[in-house]
Amino acid sequence: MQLIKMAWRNIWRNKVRSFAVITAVVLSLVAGMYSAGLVEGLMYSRFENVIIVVTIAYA
Amino acid sequence: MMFLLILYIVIGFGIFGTILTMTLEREKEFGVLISVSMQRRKLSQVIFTENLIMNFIGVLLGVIVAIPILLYFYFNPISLGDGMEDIMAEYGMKAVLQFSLDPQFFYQQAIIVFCISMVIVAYPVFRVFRLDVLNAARK
Repeated sequence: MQLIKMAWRNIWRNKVRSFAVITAVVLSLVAGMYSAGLVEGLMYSRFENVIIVVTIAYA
Repeated sequence: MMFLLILYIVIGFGIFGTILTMTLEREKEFGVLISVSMQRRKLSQVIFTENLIMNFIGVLLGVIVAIPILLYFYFNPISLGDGMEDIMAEYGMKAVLQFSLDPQFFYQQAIIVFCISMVIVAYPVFRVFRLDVLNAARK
């Protein structure tokens, strides 16, 4: 408990430094989610397209 | 999600750079703390906890920041340009880059980024154990 308290106070002792570390993680996560969304969306639209083509052609 | 491996490598080095700067900046502080008889094990535990809290805040903030961006691109997909519409119509596709809002990758990405940053935290945690107290405290 004392450990967590000490760590928590250490974070806010130097705000700029902590902010830099937090920002690095935030930007990484935004980049990761953006790319994952793009790739997943492309795969999904391609998949959907194949289903439509197959359904129309073999209906 | 192995197709994002290159992105994760870049991300990893970005976070590592920040953590490295943080560690080097605080070397004097660590040296002074050890020389006033703080156990190295305790000090590394404090650093680990600190980074755990910061990464947790970062991941939460990251999800909060990323959701509006993804929502925007979901409802306004990126256009490929006017000239592409005829060509794409032949393949039966719209000339847009459609984004996905599958909630699966929300926590997937969050877990991956959190794991990467927690692996990188090993650097300052083990650096404390082989810190040269005399040189570090004199900086």
